[in-house]
Amino acid sequence: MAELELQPTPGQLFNGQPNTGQPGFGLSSILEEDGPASPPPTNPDLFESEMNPHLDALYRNGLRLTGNANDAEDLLQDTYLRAYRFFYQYQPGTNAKAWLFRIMNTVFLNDYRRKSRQGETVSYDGLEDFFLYNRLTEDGVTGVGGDRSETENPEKAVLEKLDIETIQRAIEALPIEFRDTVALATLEEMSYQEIAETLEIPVGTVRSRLSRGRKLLQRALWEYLNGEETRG
Amino acid sequence: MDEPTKLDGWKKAGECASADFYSCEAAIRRLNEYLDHELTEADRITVLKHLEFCRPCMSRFTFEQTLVISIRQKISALCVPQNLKEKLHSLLRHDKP
Repeated sequence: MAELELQPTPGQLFNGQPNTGQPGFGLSSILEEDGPASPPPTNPDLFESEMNPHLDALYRNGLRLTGNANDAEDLLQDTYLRAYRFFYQYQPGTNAKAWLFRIMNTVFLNDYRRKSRQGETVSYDGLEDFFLYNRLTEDGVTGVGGDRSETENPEKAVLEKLDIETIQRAIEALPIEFRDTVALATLEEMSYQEIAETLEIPVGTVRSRLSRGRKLLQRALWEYLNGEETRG
Repeated sequence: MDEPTKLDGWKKAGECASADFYSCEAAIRRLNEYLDHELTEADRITVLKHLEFCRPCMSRFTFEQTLVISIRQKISALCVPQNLKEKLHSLLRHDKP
């Protein structure tokens, strides 16, 4: 797939203008190459106790942003060290996970932008509630393996066939504005308020993106499960 | 907000006579918030009341919930490689600002 520039979405962090006005954040200086001349010392044990519970989720965010493990590891390391240097800006009691994710998104846009990937071009036609459920409970459905014994319990069959690779590909196939919101809610179990803080979008936008994004995700899962690959 | 719908048919059921129910459409509109634990307690109870008496919605909602949990469990197996964790731990102690 050709490397494309991210298409900025109004109001999103991807507009390259990180918000510095919210308490607990303050990312503009984090973008500076060297940071302040003499930042307050950070206790590494305290930093780890606050931030490491979110490390796996942060790594998965890096995988979604970069699309490969090597870049995700580099991005995670850059993000982690940047957060460590600027830990004095972090306000205890605010949302550490959202803070880390926003640093990662900002670092990614700043340093990895050329490698950024655009989601698939997808059609919104035929979006419906319960897309997967409806396909699986249609009379005579023979998808996802087509074995008659499987169709007697199609829900079980499809859930057993969902593997990490299929899920990742389906998430990656989502248009970028839906990908983040769906991933943070569905995979990382973030609250709508946390997602709003992380992506700098209103909570109402989180809701509307989830509504459409989850339908798109189900359609993508269905296509991948049935081998109807849409990727070029 | 949608006003819960009074289902006259259920009023004959005795103890449920005063219960309010969402229509299927109103319940489905709250699907994502139900799955993500974003509903108020009052709304959650009203959705649950609908599911209790609407078998098709109960079946759909259960599938959606199972799907989300299943996806979340599977993807949680993707963790930071151990050697990177150790490297980060070490870097904090040798890369002090």
